[in-house]
Amino acid sequence: MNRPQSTSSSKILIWSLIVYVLLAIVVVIAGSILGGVKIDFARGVQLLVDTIFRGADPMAQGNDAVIMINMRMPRMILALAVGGGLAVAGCAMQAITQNVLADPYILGLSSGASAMVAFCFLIFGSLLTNPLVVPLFAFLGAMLAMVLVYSLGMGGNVSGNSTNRLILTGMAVALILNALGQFIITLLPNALEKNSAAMWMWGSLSSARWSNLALPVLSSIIVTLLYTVISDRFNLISLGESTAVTLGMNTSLMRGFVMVTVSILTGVLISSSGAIGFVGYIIPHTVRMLFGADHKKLFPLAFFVGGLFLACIEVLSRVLLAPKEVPIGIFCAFFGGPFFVYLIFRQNKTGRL
Amino acid sequence: MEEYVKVSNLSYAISSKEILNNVSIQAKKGQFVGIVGPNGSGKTTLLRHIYRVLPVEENQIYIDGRDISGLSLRDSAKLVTVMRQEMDFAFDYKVLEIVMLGRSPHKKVYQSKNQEDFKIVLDALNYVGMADYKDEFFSNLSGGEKQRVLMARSLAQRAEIFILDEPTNHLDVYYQWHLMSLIKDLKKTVISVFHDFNLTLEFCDYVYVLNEGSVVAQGEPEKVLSVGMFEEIFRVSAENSKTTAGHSRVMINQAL
Repeated sequence: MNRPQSTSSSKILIWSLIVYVLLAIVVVIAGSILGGVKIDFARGVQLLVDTIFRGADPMAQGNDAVIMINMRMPRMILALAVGGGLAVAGCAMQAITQNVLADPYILGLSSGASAMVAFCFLIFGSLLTNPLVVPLFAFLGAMLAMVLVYSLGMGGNVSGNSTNRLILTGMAVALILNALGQFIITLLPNALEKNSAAMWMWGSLSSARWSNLALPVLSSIIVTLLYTVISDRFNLISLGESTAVTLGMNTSLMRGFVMVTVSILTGVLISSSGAIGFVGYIIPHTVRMLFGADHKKLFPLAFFVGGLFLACIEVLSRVLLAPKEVPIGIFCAFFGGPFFVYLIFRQNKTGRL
Repeated sequence: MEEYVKVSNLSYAISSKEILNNVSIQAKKGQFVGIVGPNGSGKTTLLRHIYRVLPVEENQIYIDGRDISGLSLRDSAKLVTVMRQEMDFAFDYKVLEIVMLGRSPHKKVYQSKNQEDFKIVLDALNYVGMADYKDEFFSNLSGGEKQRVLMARSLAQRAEIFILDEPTNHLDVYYQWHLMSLIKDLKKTVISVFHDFNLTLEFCDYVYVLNEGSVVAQGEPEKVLSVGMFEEIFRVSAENSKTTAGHSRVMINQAL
């Protein structure tokens, strides 16, 4: 007798969770020690052990401990959350658009969120004290872009290659919203705000602190869990609108749910890290090639792989030109651009994206 | 026997262009009903209303006496299953995963599949002879194999009514006849669009002829598919004939 597929997929999930936790610990420790300010490895480990397991105050342990514990470690954890969250957002968007290239960056959600964050700085300026205002604006921007792109790119009764139409629409909307964002930044009065607003357009994890980690970490974990629980519905809608209807799904409800939750997630992530691109389609694609398309495995595995991927990139971006730091968004584009080209090349050869 | 599926006075227009005009059809329980008609006569549009990809208003479509406009899509999918041409999915699912989706209407959003679902899916794959392919990728299958997998998905749905929206059109003659007899043997209520009149004559208990959005003839296929009908509606000259076993067939001479 054959065993149900659920047994094998839960086995994969349990093992991958164990591997993920181990690798995440290694990456977070490595990322806390490596960087622009050189810290001796043995001393770094000693300092980490002292502060984490013996409860020593990093402030009292000197500069190195402060840099490691209060600055680098939250960045690494934010990298895990942002990378994982963006990959999950990408999976969800790909399912509802039936398009493997859909991702928050390519479809303009990131640009929308960034533009609204810039707008938020413009109207509130330094009066901004409530930590939820920026994510709220980012959410509204992401939602605006998503609705625009979806209704323009998937709507109407156009025959022909809707895959390309959606991507073109996304790029057009991203261009407009990017220009709008840059325009608002030039209107900003003081240099400091200009700098931090510019960071949102590029993507950087440098603003991560223990005090502002909870929102991005919790939202990406909650959304991943939620999507995994209802993964069957993602399998359904990924077969296309009419097939999903004939199998009993209320597709407009599902689409609305996904659009809102993806916009919330993207908004939260982008307001803490800026517009980091390409993770949202590189990771889902790779995970699908390795473990199959079933969303029950896809969501958690994309979260794991995406987080580890971005955490490694974060370490690379600090180490490669140390003591200079390359913005992490630029690094992701170095990977994402060629990957895009590879997919198009593959489509030329096999007819499939 | 009372009608099991009833479409009553269904009209449908897209921006003032009339596609369906007061169409009424019926199917009794266990009956194999065919719908034929030239291109653009509204056959597929009619079926799309029954399987609810197009919106249904009140008092238009009844199943087992119930107005389907009052049913959720989930409840509809427990009664009605559809076989269409679905050859390309954006993602590479395995055969088992595709067929398992047929169980979705019977599952709550958070419920996962259990042993019983797995057994239903395997039975369905066995019926269509695709059980050995359950771990293959759907995209690697041939057209005929894909269509058998989709039939297994419909079987796993455990619905009483099968709607066939030209699922066999692109298949070679073997698969066209093979799939139809697999479906016929289920003894379910079937409503199917046909282009091939010999398939219609072989498998249908009752046939409706649609032309320009209206039902122009209905009845037993041997009586409805007459020489005059072919000339008037389908614009071909044809001759009726019989196989040695006595089954009605049609031979087309030429386009008029």
